[in-house]
Amino acid sequence: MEVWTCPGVVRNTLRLPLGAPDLWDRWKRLLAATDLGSDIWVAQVDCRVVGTIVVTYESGLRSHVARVGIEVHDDYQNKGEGRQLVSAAIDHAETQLGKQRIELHVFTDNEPAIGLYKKFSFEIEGVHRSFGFREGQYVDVYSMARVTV
Amino acid sequence: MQAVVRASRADDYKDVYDVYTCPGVMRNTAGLPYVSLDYWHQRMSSASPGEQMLVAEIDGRVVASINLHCGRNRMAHTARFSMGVHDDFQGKGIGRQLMEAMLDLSEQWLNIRRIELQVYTDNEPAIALYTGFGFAIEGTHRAYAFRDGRYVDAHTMARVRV
Repeated sequence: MEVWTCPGVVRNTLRLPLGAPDLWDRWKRLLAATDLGSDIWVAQVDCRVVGTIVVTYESGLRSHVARVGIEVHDDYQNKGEGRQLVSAAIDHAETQLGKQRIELHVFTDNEPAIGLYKKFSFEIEGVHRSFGFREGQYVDVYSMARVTV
Repeated sequence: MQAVVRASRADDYKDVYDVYTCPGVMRNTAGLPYVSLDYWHQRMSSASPGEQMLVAEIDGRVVASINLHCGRNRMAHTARFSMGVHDDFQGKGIGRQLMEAMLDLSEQWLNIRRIELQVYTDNEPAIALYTGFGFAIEGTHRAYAFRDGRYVDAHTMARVRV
């Protein structure tokens, strides 16, 4: 929970400062739903959770698709936690579940994250203007995807 | 052809089921074959928060529908929509009338500033309709969905006023 309310995490995701009132409920719902349509992986350092990756699996005509959201505690940025999370999620989605398209959204100014995703062969598919609201302004995001069809 | 555009009602489900099981509609939307009538009954009996559904009626029969989903929190200024027009009523301006109503609702009443949609890249009539309403292609998603035996690409299109 601490990870999801770090100022840096809030800035670079669509989370709310101080946490949304239903943040804890969402966490419990996510854990309860892991058999149905999502997985959540955490990165732990010294018994403390310092990062999460939430993977949502699409269904129907898009059952080959996984969507991911990565969050790493402000104090553990640039220490390889994000890389390990992405690597684990890709491995599980592709090797165990046979997913062929992994997609994500990232703010266009979040260069470290974009660099990380590019290293994992994610490609920018487009720019979505005014996708989210942050610090009083509308901000753009990229769609990125790793496609192994 | 002039349609009556109104909010959907729970008892529209049979007509809406007929729309979304048309071969042409199924091909161009994210619907699967063999979706049950019960699915549409349930779906139309309980609208989720932030969801609006409008329908177009000709001679008392619903022949098209449009679904609007508004974003929450930091995406409260955004909405996504999807629509379907019965195969027998394609090319008669029904989709245009639904779009006009949905854009009025979104921008004049709900203060939506970004409206987006996904459309298969080979659905040229729909792309032309959206382009006519000021939607621009923002990107192309490879292997977006699996349809009729193969992976197909989709565009995201958006109309943004900030």
